[in-house]
Amino acid sequence: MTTTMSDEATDRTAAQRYVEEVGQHLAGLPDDERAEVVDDLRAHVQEVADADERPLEEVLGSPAEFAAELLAAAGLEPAVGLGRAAPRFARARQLVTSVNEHRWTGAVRSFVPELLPAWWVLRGYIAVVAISLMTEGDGRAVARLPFPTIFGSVVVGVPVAIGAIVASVRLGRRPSLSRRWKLLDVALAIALVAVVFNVRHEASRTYVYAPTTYDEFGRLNQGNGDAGYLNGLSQDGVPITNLYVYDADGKLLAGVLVYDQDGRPVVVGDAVDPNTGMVVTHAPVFDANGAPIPNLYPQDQRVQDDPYGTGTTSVSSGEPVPPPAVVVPRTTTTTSPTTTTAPATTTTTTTKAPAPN
Amino acid sequence: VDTTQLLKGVLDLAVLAVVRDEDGYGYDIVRRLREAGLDDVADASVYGTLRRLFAAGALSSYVEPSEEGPHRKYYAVTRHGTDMLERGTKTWGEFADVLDGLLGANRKEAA
Repeated sequence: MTTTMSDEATDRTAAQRYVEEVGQHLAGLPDDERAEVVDDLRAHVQEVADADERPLEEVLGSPAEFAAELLAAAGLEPAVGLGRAAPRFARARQLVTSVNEHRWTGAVRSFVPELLPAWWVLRGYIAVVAISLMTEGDGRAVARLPFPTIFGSVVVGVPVAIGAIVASVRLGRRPSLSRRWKLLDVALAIALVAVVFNVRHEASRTYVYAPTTYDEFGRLNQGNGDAGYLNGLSQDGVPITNLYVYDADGKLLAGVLVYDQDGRPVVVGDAVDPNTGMVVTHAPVFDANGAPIPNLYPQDQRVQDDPYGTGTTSVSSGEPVPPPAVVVPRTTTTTSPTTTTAPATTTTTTTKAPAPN
Repeated sequence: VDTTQLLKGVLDLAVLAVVRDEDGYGYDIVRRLREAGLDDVADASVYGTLRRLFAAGALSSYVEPSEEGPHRKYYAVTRHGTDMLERGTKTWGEFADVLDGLLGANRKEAA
């Protein structure tokens, strides 16, 4: 050893610097393991520096190369170039490796190329259908499926789809597509699977009823606004907004309580007259306890002049809705009831439903 | 043929053999491998191999203080390491015979 004291000092720092740089490239290792490796290397690299006159990079290679070689020989994941981001993905990469090495993966991998051309065709078609669905919104494009429409026209849509399929296949046959495009392709396939499953899910959802609730006026509220046809009563798809009950003599009865087969109060839910489109307000009726009587017919309805001006008022204003003119068939029985015992509106003390039995 | 490629498969055996002869520390083991004729062996590869053999239980280690410089970590072959070396020696012998046979036949054809 002929080096002077100062030379040795520089060598020592060079060795330290080299080892620290190697340590930075070992970021993929757990912290304690990395500290141990760096500690061991200090002695080793120092001895190399002492024994060899040449710069360390020349003897041992660059710190990055050294770290990569060390990890490879130690059977650990190479962390070269990944810097500090490596620990986060270390597990994922381990998983990828184990999947890659599984024997089924080989079988799948050899089968995938056979399926690729079919995927290229499908992908071209899907691109056009997606554009058609996105640009046309309402169900018209869906109604035309499987034929794609462009500008609402199948005549334009089909040639465009054929063109897209040809382009897609050509793109697929190109041997060297970048990794990014391949990833995009896989993402598209996954998105398609997700969409198909979602459509199936939505289709099964359509028949789910929302729980039955009563609104602030005591009206039966089945379902939400989206499922308007489920709301209240309807006949042949036309919502029923009021009920008029006549006796056998053709006399309109007032204050009739209506229940269904289960003893539930029958409530009309719709406040818009389906014939006129006018907003109709129901004047709520309360029993002696202050509870609303939602199934008392006919309801006092008024066509509201300014439905949005007054907010939720308990008193209806505007023109009363007249009962419809109906012809009541005459019955042949001689002893028709002459009196009815419907509860008077203001003196009703109970809204208890009759026992269903 | 690139010797570094050949070395990859048998570095374990070479390291085990060197350490079995005599316990050694990293730099010393590299030097002994080179002296034995493996000129191309890389420090990093030897160091990584030592770590892996240690993790596999084929080597044990102990620290010896040294007069000059930092402490040295010595490696010694364990019982498991000896087994590994024996099995490896057998495998290598068979492999070398097969390859010698192939190359010998090839040499005859060429001649």
